[in-house]
Amino acid sequence: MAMDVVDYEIFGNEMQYVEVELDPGEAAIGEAGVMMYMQDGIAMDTLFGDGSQQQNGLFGKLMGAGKRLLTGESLFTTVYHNESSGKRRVAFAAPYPGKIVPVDLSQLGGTLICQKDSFLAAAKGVSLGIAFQKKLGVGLFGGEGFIMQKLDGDGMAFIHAGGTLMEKTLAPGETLRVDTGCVVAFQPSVDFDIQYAGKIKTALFGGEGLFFATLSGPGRIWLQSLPLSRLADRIVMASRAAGGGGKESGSLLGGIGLGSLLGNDE
Amino acid sequence: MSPGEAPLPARFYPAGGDAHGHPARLAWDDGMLLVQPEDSSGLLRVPASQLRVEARGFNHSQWAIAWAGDAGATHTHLLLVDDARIAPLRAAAPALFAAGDTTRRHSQRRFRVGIVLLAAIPLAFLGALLLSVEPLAERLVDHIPPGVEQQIGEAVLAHTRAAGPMITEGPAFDALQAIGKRLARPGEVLHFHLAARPEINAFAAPGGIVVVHSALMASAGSAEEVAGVLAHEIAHVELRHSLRQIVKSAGLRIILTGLSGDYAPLGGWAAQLGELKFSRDAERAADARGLERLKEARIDPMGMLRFFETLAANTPSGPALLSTHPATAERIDSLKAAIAAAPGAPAQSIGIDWEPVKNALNSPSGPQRK
Ligand SMILES: [Zn+2]
Repeated sequence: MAMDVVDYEIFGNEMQYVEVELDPGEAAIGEAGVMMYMQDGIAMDTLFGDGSQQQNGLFGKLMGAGKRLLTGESLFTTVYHNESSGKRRVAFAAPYPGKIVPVDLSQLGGTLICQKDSFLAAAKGVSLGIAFQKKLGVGLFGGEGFIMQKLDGDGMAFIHAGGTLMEKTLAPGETLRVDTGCVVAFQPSVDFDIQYAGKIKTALFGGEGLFFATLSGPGRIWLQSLPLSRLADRIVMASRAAGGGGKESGSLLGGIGLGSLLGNDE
Repeated sequence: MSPGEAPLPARFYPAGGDAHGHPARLAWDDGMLLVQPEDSSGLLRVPASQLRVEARGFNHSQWAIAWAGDAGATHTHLLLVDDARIAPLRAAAPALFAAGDTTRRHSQRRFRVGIVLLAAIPLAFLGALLLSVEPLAERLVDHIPPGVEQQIGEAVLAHTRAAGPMITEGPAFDALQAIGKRLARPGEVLHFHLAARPEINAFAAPGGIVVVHSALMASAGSAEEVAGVLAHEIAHVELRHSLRQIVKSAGLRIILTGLSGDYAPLGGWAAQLGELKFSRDAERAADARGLERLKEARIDPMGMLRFFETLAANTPSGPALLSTHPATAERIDSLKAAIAAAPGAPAQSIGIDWEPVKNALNSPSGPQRK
């Protein structure tokens, strides 16, 4: 299936949104709840799955639904279809401070692996799949990085990175160790592994993650400086501290330690 | 195949080159890998013996083909091919892929084992919970107060009443009460109910309740035979077999019941359960206990034996009592042995003329029912 060619423009600095221009008959898909505005003539339709051809048939649809349930994604994808005779625009907004990353899947060999909550929108025809990280190891219990999202196709996709974006092309054999929560996306040629980061003591008192991701090249990687979960942790900690002294010990364990044991980004 | 006619797309990372790599086309020709970089630099020919092939990338979805660069030691050339496109090369030189395939297989297997383990943990937890139901129920039984036991028994009885007519007067009813009275120990409260039913059966419910079917009394040859069955059923009551079974069958719900301290729902469940099947051990214990009671009451234990024998001989299809009391031959034998081993004091007849009882139950007008 030919992908819809999408023209786009990104607005804003730290709180961005992307405006996508659809030719007559073109469509884009977006995660539920990220649409910001759309012009007259664009029809919204809710699809079971992602609207790509790979999910034809009841079984395929059920499998897709099961996988989406597993990752905590919504079962339905919203399709924005230009039914007018002229060009029309629809905008998708980033849900928290950061950068919107436009990726042209045709330039990347057709596949991109990304963190499951970083997908924002794509041209219709891009399939949203789930990829389990099969090099289990301790990664299985680390939570983050075990279930990834796989984008397939040759159209444009927009993913979102929290905070500041770091984009890098790793040379063959070049390795980077990354906090699991900071990984946004990478090409499938990148060796991705999750490793035990070290002592629990560090995790409890230093706030470091128990697990980190090892990325080795060749291939392109996208990292974020501020995963949403890290931001959320700090906010929770701060609100607890403001809430009174009685919960001090609770915040040490609950805010950092237990969070990381249970596989949050921290 | 040659690079031109069967192009196999790959990404080429020449030794000492940049991190981005270049698109290239691959082909296999007579033991040589042909690499044609798309930037139109010269065609490379690499002998198979120099190639190292391994599966890598996310979930081993890529094949890395490497060989030593011209300068020798430090740098190597690298080609990356997506697994989805590797088929022509794999067909041409299968040996190159053996090691990578093993890696992929192992990783797949480890993943499956991991998933199974992950699924097994909650299942094991559930299993442990289910296994602990029995001991928990067992312990709970000992803490159920007599009042609650009575309540449960009443619920079972209500179910029996709803299922069909009861006989509450007449020769058979009177005979049953008389036999029961003879069996009861001083101060012991037992309730004997007679249900008009065509199946030969009798059962015990919590709270000292024994229900006898009219067909059982009609098929018995004497009061002593009925006394044998009653003694056995009373033993079930004494040993709290019914209660235990009800509590166990209620399963997980019983834990909640125990926690809330409200045992009333148990009666409802018990009624739904209908007749309860006890374990062989429970039956054996009830036989032994029943025999003791017969001796204590100076009732001829041979009656019990005769009734079981009649049951086993005359009803090959198996009456209801047999379905809840299986292995009759074995039980008859052990009963015989027990009687022979300790005959007890000489028996005194119950003194009920059984013919009128039978006639009352078999009369065309039927027994008085209520
Ligand atoms: Zn029994």
